Formats: sequence, C-alpha cells, structure tokens
Amino acid sequence: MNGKLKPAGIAGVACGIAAALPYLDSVCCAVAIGAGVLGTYLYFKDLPAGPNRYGPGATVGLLAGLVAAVAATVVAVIRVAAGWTAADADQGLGQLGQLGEAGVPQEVVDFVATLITIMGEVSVKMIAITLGVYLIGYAIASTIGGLVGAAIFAKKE
Amino acid sequence: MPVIDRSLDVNWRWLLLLGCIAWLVLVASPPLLAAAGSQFQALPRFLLAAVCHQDPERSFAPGGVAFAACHRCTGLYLGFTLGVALWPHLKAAAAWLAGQPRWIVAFFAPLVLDVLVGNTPASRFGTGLLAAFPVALLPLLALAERKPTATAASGRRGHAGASHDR
Repeated sequence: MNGKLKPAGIAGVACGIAAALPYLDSVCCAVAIGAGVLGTYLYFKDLPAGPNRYGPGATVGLLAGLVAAVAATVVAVIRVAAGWTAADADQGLGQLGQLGEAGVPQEVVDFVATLITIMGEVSVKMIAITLGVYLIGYAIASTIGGLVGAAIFAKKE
Repeated sequence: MPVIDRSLDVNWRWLLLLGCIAWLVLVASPPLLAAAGSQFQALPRFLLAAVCHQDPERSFAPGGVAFAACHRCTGLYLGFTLGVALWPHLKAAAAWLAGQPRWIVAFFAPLVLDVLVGNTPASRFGTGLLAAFPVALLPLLALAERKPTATAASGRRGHAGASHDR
C-alpha cells in the first residue's frame, strides 16, 4: 500500500488543485480521470512486469481520486473564503426569479436558493457537502483513470 | 498468463452493472423528477456538478428539462454501461483488446478530434459512447484478476518477487 500512496498523493493533489481552479472546472471529468492516469504512470514507471496490472491500477486511481477530492475541497473553501465566488452566487440567486417566472414550482426554487446560500459561505455544512460531491465523482472517475493508466503504462509480462 | 484466459463473467460484474444503471438513472432523472413535481429535481445536477459542466444547451433535455450531464458525458456513461453488459459475450474481441490494451487510447481519438474540430449533439454523444465502451473491459479484467485459475496461481508463485502488488 505504501508504494501506492506516494504516486496517488502527488497525482491527487496536482489534479485536485487544477480541477477547482476557474476555467479548468469546465472540462468535465477529464481532470479526475487524469489524476488516476498520472498516479498509475508514477506507480508503474519503475516497476518490473507482474501478473496483475488492473487491480493495482484501480487502487492507485481510487486513492488519487480521494486525495484529489480533499485537495479540490480545500481550494473551493479558499475560493469561497476569499470571496471569489460571491459574484457567481449573486448571479445564481438573481436567476432564480426567472425560474419562478418559467413555471418552476416555488419549492424547487427555494431548494436551489438554500443550496446556493449554503455553498456561498464557509461552514461545516458547506465543507461536508463540497467534500461529499467531490468524493462521489472523483473516486469513480479517477478509478477509471487508474484502469486506463494501467492499460497504458504497466509493462507486459 | 493473459488475464483473458479467466472468465469475465465474474460475480461482482452484476454489482458493477447495477451501479452503472443507477448512475444512468441519476443522469436522466431531472426530467422525470420535474414531471413528478419533485422539489428535489435540482439535486442530481448538484451531485454531478463536480464531474460535468452541465451546460443545458449541450445536454439532452426531454420536455425542456436538461439531463444532469452533458451529451458527451451521457455518451461516456452509456458506453461504459453497455461495455460492462456486453464484453463477457464478445470473447474474441475482449481477448484481442486484453492482449494489446494500449489500443484503448485509439478509441479516444474521435472524442479528442470532436472537441478540437467542432461538434454536434450527436457527435458529442457518439464519440463519448465509442470512447467508453472499450474502457469497460478494464474493470472486468481487474475483477477477473481477483479470481485466479490454477495456472494463474502457480504463475503468481513464480513471480513473487516481481509483483505489481508491492
């Protein structure tokens, strides 16, 4: 396990920070998949050929995804604390009126407003929700990235 | 020993397939929840926000309510789910791809071209589906690695010093 933690940690931190930055957050799951691919590259580059490649690749990818989720959450908290997301939150709350006019039920509008309000200021609830959302997506996408990385970088037996 | 010599029809495949189908239902649920008048119709989009840009103009929107993922991500998820369901029945193709797994990268070429050159909803969805279908073979191979055959077990003993499981 120790041999997997270092490459997963490096890849997770690098991709987690990249994914939470403006502009790069619009490339779908590519950054999370990239965490798994980078982690397996670092893991397999100095390893000799062995009988199993996909199990270790998936494990490295999963670990990289978990680390990336924590790193992305830290960056998200910093962005909110620094006020960099305030304009987005205000714009989102402003657009809710249009939802109501478009016939979206008031309960839905209220639910979205609650979410935007929670995510707009640093709190335990905000951190837990952000971490939970990142964990779900990143763990899955990065594990798949780890499998793809194993297919590319593991040496043939 | 090539992993493909072991059966891909592993027990955990059904759980994986169930997870994939649940994920697809989550992606397609906003229009269904909206039709049912649920106040939680925004929740699926919120849950998937970390892994998709969710631009409504680049997402399927039956009834005017967008899916929780864009065209390309929906194609990726559907392609992966189809792959998990179908690879155990495509034995010759699975054996070939398991023998040269780096070819999986080639299936991503149309998707990358689609991103760079220009695209339509159909091309985004189609290239996503094409890219993800072969990738679905990899978790099946990972699960098959957990189920050693007699020859694999003896082979593993011979590689005790060179295992990737360090």
